Amino acid sequence: MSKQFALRHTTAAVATLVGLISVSTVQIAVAAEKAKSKPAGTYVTGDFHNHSTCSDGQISMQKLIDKSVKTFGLDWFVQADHGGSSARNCTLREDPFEPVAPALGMTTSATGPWTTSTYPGISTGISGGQPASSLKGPNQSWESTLPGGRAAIKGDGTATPKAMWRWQEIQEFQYKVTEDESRARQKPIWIGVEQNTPGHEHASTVVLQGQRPWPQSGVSGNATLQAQYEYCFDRSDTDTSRGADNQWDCSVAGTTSTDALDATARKITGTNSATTLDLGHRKTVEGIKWMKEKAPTTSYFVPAHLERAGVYLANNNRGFNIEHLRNFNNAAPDIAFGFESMPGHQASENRGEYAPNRGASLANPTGGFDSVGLGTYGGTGIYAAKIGGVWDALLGEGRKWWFFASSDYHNRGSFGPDQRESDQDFYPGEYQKDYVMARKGTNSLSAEAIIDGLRSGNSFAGSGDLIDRLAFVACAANPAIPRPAFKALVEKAAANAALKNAEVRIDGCATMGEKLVVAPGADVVVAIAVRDPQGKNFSPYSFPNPSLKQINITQPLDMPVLDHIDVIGGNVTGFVSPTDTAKYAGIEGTAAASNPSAAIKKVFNSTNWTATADGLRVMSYRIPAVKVSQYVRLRGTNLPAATPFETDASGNPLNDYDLSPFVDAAKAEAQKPGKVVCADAACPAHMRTVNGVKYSSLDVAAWSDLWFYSNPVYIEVTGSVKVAGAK
Amino acid sequence: MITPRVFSSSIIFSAVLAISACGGSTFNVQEAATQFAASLNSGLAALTGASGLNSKALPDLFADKFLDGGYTKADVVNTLTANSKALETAPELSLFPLAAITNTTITGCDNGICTLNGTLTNSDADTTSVDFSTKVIVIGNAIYFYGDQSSTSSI
Repeated sequence: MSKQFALRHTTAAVATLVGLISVSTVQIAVAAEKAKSKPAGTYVTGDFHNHSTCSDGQISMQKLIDKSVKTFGLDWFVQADHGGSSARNCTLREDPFEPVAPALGMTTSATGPWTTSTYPGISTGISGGQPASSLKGPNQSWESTLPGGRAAIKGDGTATPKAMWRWQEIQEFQYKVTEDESRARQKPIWIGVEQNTPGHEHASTVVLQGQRPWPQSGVSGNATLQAQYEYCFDRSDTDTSRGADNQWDCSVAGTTSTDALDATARKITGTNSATTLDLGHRKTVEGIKWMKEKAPTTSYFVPAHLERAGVYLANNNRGFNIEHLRNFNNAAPDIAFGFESMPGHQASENRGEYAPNRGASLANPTGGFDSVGLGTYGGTGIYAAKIGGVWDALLGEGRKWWFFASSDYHNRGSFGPDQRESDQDFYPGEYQKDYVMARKGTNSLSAEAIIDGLRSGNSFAGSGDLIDRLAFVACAANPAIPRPAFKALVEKAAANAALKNAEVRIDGCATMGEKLVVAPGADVVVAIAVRDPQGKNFSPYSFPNPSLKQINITQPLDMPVLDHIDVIGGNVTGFVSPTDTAKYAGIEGTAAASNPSAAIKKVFNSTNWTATADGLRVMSYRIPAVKVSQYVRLRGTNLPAATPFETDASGNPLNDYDLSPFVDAAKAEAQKPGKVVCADAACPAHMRTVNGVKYSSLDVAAWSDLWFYSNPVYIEVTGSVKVAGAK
Repeated sequence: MITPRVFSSSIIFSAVLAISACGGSTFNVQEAATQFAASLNSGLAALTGASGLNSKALPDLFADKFLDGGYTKADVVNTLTANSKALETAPELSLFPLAAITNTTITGCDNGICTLNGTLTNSDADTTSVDFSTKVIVIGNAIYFYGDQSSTSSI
């Protein structure tokens, strides 16, 4: 049973926050940079949301980094544990000589529902990767492994073993690991925090200032500012010591937050509650302003799995409504510039850990709340998956608001960290990737360049290596060049760019995150080139995709084929003022969270794209006589429209929860059957199995259902609405 | 209008075609194509500002009966004019991708309608080149864009 807060209360809450947000901070943007002055760059893959034993993960920092950048080949990596505190020392490596279960002979459940105790340690919340009873590895406590013991752990914790505040973990122990790993591996690796967001659930945050990952060398850097941000603005960091010797002050210059600072802690203490409505959200906005003050070009704040915790509640810490995203973006558009609407936990029993009545239990059957959308859609939350929904509403304002994915890696569920199956999470880079345009100075990839790329919107994200290259441009049609020739030129430019893993740099064209400024009545040619990579992805399964088997398509799970690309477009009607409450604030499905002009404008598939032997798919179309400012964005999938239980007749993804609903914790019933039978002899034993029938679920369901999303290209028509958030 | 009867059914790349035009001068269609390309490139290069957008140089390269996928000579003029006007108030106007045409040849002339072949190249940052063909018409001693004469477009 969901508990939705009355709109009028949300409205009042928004109104009180108006005074904290200066809409005038929004920049009036300029058109795409001239081609010759735009440095060359390439798209680089990475992940910025994942966990070690320093919060609620399963493995050490080193093993997590190794898996991410070595095993799964990411180009960059941000290690970002939860804020708060932790008793475990994640900087200790796993013992290389001790095999981990199930190599020890311990079995995992072969039939469902599995019990969480079949893999040692999971049921007690302790890593199965290195059993705590072995007294080895990253499950050991700080208290038992620091030379100074308990006394070396700062703050006022009283538990045994004593938990270390995350700010101390970052500042004194974890940062050095990321810097050393980065320099040794010669890849940009740095540290961030998955903030327990006051007033909300979680956000991926980084304050890079001070950190010196590769290619920097010589003197070491520090993550003091990142640590300070965690102390100041994480709702699970209830330390009041001001970071002990750091003596931090969390005030933000020029804001009204000073009156809310606790005199001792020098930070806003508390969060949303019955007596402090919206306090948490206010603190979060202050944190974004703090980032803007301290590290304006090397920070980001990206809400994570933002539909999972349900609609926003002013008296609790739940999800995010659109007004909160607007507030974040208004506060600092160069820092709060997007969301992870393609969440992690893609192999879990409820994909993404999104579900109805989430958190309910047998003891408290009505105590749960619905994830917004009641599930993910092709692995993506409804805010981005629904055409005309929240994301399109934000793009319809012309905002800088980009789409990202993350692994949110914690563990592999009932499988060991070195096994290929998973019934919980995929490693960073194993299943999902963010592809970000990074411009390399002196030919070395830098963390600053990657953050610039994230901010720019010149990026795309996807699952299962469905595509690994994308060139996407909108060009003003030159009236004096024959139309077929112009079409061929821009398609060739896109194809060349995709082959080089680069972008099109032609004056009169704009790519993702940029805007094309055209005269009224101009024709615009949209050109796209993607590469459907030859060879295999990281799926451990090669048997035929069971979802596609339903429609007589035989396609190995480890060799997906791009079926089609949708070009989605919508109109830009300008920024909504925070004072226009009816248009500014509202839950999913309301007018404030909708862009009714958004629709599928064009579908490309094997009938109308040009396929080359090296896997490129090249296509274009013309938007004639544009009259209003607008945007176009892409999504693609391996699933045809009308694939049962996967896509509707228009090709929109269907609710993943409905495909494979797991046991409703509020009811004492046997597991429900799934929808898609997994009949192949190679279908693994850990699938949902009812009456001897296996159903596509968990990691198999994820490998079956692959999507990519691009960020938008804006088209601004002179005399029409200005696209203020893009250049 | 040149009398169609004087054209052969096909013209090869290296051939020099001598015809009797009005006034009795010799017309070399390949030279005309080269001149056309030069004029086109000059006009395209000038599309970076109001002067080039307002110039008649490019529209003059289109035959009055130009029609290409529903696009007419008037559309060419209107687009250039609209951009010139937009530039007055929007200096950040993206304008158009520019390109230059090289390697022009004329083939397949029939009743004054020929195929212009060439290479279109953009060199803004990364060089992109494509080969293309388009219909042109010979009028007097010059050639002009003619288009596919279709009212609808598939692109």
